[in-house]
Amino acid sequence: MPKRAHNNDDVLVRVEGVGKKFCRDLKKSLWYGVKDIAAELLPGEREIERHATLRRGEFWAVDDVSFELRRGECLGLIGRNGAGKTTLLKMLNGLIKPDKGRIEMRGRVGALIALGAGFNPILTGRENIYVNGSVLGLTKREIDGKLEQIVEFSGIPEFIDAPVQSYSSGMTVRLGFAVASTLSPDVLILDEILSVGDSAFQLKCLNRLGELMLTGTASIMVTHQLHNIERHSNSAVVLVDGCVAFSGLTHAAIDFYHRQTGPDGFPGEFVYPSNSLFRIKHVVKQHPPRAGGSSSLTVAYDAERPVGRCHISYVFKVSGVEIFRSTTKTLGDSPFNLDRNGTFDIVFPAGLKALPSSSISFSLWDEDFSQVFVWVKDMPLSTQNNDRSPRIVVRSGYQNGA
Amino acid sequence: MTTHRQLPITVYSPGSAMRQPSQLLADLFRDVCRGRGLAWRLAVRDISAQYRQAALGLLWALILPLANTAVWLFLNGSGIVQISETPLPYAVYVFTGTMLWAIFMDAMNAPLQQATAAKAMLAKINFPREALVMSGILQTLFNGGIKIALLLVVLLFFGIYPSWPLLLFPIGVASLILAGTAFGLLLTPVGLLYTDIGKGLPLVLQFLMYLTPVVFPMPTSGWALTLFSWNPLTPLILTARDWLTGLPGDLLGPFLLVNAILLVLLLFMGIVFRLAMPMLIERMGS
Repeated sequence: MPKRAHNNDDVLVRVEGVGKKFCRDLKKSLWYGVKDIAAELLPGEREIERHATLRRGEFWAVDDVSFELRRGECLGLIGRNGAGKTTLLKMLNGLIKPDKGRIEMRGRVGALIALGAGFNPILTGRENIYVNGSVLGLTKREIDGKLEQIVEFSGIPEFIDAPVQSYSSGMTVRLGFAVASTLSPDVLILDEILSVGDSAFQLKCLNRLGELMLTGTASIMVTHQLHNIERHSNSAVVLVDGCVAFSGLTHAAIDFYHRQTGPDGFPGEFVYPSNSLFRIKHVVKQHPPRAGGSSSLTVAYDAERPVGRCHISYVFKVSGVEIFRSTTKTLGDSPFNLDRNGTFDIVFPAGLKALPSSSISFSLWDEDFSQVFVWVKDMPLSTQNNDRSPRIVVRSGYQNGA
Repeated sequence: MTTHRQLPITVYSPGSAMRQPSQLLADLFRDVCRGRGLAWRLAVRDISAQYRQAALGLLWALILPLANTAVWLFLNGSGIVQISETPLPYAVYVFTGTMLWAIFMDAMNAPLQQATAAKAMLAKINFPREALVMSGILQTLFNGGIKIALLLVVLLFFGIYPSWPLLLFPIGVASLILAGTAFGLLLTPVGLLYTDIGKGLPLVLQFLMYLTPVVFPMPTSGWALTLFSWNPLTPLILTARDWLTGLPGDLLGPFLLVNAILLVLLLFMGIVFRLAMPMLIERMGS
């Protein structure tokens, strides 16, 4: 492996060929648990080999993952549900042991995962600050010193002496975050932290994360809100069925992830309801032929039976910022009829021009918005993305889930 | 250019920690020390929450052994069960016995109870898990303290006044808690995987109580005597009761032997608990 010119001391997280096996069958998994505990107590001769071999009913939830993370860097972990992201984070956090490979963590590790861990609903917010702080490794004196700051940061000082069971879930999370954010770890693990709480709370989270990164904290971020990864991460890893399918610069990783789901490698994330018989074949983008004209998309689809009368809901974004959101119903259009296959057009109001950084998300609904047929997320509208760059080859064993 | 302070390195790999026993013990003791503050905090949390939502409050620590005593006084008094002569008045014998047994039972239930209640936390946060066990011990001590206070008052009422062996009584209580914790830890790893353990435990404990001189005196002959004498809890209960009621205790040899064995068992079970945790957490879900 070629060594980079960096100072080696800067590497805070080193993950080498790490794998973890799980068992889908509960009864078997429990029995394997008993055996594993026995083997841990009385390690046999061929211990390492045994760990690296699958038993009946087991599969690799994480397989052969390697990466390094330096001071001040942020790594994004991208993947669908069940791709192994959380399992990997649990190994990094020392909660579960890897079955293969080696993990080296340098310095204090902090995890923003279970906000408000150890909260007891009957106790007051103030009492729970002490509990939660202790669980996170703070001493009583440290908590005493930071109490005011925590209460203020939580934004709910008027409720601090009320029992936590009277809090809304958002308030509980805020209080939990306020406690957790007093930590200054060397390595920070974030799992879907940004998907809870309101916008004001998310801003606080992002600012705190930015502060920590400036002071040299290395962080690993898991979120389905890819724009957050795009903004904070220097690099990202795409996990597919536990394996690293792509590793590299963040925008390339996001692009790769999108290509996994689209038809024929088309960028954008295409989501279908389970056992849907509806599929998008391809999308053609049309930019205004002349000034003042409307941009539009032509979507070709295929379905088992006639789709019926439909509406479309869409969001138009530039650089990840929402510019326009509407539905064909709100715009006054009557529902349009879709047959078993064919095309439909999405025509944007004049004035919504496709810039290089524009993207669109849209979903196709039945006429009374009770059934959704497809949801296309964050499809780039720019012209340079129109020419299909060759698909990056995925290791064998992975089948496109779409 | 920043200067790098020497950061501690943690390595996770598949190999068993048993291969470096000295490192394992050092880590165990470090986490026991690190977990003290947390154990205290968790104990305060559980105790205050437990009593805040109960109208009878602290009385709940007494109700179970009091009810148990009442049952046995009734059974003996009515002649339904014929209990042979006890060295103390039967009421005192059965009351001290059930109170001490309740302390042992609390201690034995605590590790599995604490770990089960903390599943969500265990599955997501890395903290010194030894704190859960220590918090259980603290709670047992607190609830035991209430029981002992009541015991002392009742003993005065029966004309048994404090004398010098009472000074040794805390050692008796400590050894009961030691036994409970060691046995409780023995069951915790498997108990966290299979709920059968938690379900079967009350049954086993009930049976065990009848094999220990709690409500019955030591049998004088037969296979029952053999069972009672081999029961490691016998010297603990008898010695604790003797010290409480002002007797010097006549099973001191076995008492010390059992305690020595229990200390070794506790250390061993502490190691098992520590090593088993990652495998248990794996199966706890998120």
